[in-house]
Amino acid sequence: MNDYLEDNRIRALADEEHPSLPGAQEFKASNPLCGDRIKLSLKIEDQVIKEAGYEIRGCILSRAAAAIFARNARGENLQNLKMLEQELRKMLKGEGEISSGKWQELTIFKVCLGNRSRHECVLLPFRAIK
Amino acid sequence: MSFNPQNIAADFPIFTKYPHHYLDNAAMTQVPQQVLSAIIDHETEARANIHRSGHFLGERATIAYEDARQAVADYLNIDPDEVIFTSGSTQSLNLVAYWLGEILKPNDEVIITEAEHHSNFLPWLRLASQKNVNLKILPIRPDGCLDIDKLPQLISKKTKILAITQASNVSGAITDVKHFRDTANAVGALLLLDAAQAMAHQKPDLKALDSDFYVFSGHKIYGPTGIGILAAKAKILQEMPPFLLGGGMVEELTSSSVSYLSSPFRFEAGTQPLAQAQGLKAALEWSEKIDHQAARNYQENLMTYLWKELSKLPRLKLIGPPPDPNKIPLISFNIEGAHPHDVAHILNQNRVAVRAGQHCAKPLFQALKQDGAVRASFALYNGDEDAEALLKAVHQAIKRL
Repeated sequence: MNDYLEDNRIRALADEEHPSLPGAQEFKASNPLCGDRIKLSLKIEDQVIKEAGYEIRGCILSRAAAAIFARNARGENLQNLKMLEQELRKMLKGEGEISSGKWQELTIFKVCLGNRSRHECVLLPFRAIK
Repeated sequence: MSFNPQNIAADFPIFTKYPHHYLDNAAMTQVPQQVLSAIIDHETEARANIHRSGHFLGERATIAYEDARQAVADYLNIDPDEVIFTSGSTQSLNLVAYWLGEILKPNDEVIITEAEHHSNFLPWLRLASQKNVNLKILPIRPDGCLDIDKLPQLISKKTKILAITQASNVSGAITDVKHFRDTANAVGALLLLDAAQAMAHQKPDLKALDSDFYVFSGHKIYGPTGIGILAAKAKILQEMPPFLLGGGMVEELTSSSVSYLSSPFRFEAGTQPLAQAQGLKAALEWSEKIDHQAARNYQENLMTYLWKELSKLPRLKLIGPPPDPNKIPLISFNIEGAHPHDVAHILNQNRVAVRAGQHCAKPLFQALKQDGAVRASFALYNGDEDAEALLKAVHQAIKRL
């Protein structure tokens, strides 16, 4: 397995902070395996995300994924993000690619291709969208 | 008799194929060649369904299955009709909770502890919500041990069962069974011991323990997956209704009525884990040959050394009581500022296999105010080299995270 801990982009993303947004809509998810949890806060107008923040207790992978989510969520609607989650699932299994140019940063998680037990870490912020 | 883990490890083919430091034994132990051979022998010499086919393979299979039951009974010092084969501890615990759900009345009480893993928590939680039974939970102390001083505040004449872990899968603390037995006796309550963790580290005498129910899994005691045991006193089993309905457990059946066989057969509907039973028998026979007192002494010294070395490391927070005879050989810990999964990732790169996370024990972690932990759990084949490899890898994790 490649080592995500050696990937400086992942380490830097994990250290980013995107604070929760007061008054925003909340979406929660947790990972039963490790107890990681995220609370997304999304400002949504006319079904389009205007701004995203979060609180997270998680590993480096889940924190990095949350940062990518918050950076890129503006302009998306929830339905698109659910479709993106499915693409991400397939990419992590080596069965597909991320189609949206805007979300190509997610390809850094191909480092987890051979480590199935950590896929849910990467998917955590996307699973919060319900 | 001296104890050398390297001699033990030689029985385990997986360590020849994949040399590594396997310290995830609280989740699953590896299997010795003797167990693998017993499974293959059964499948190639006696594969047939039991208690129904009179041909030679059917006879062999039936005899082998009941021999396995006798072997379990002998190991536990009980009668064979007190041994029920299940798919594992989880099914065993669900079976008992199901039965109690049939007979408990509203406001009756069940006592469990914060140290239970989910298999001995969720069935009782459901029972409480469906039957209006009061579920009382004995807290743990900050060191992860059960706070038995609080038991008198919980127990009452309405208490019908205490369902207690015999050893915690996170802190490793071994339960003072006699204290719980005496407390249960004082109010006429039943005692269930969840030995999922404890079983690998002792040879229990159930007559001496006087437990009404005793539960464990094959895969944590060097046996196969998919098999476990519910041992229960005969007089209780006579009253228990069957949990699953199907072939092999019926005495008489018409279109309008049914009567069931006596225990243990009434609890074993459908085709049973036949090859697994032979594997479990082989695991117990293999275990019988070990000098467990010598093994315990060795492991306690090893755990004491490891605990001492780990406690010297910066940012390292140990969880649970320090090693002593009342602790199974596992150590849980965290590195401050690092996530357990990231720590386990680095350990894995050093060929040290541990488990990280909440270990199916969320209530315990809530009580400890921890999000999770890294757990290194030792078995009979683990020795000094495994402890040194763990220490080296933890050093590396502290540097890198």
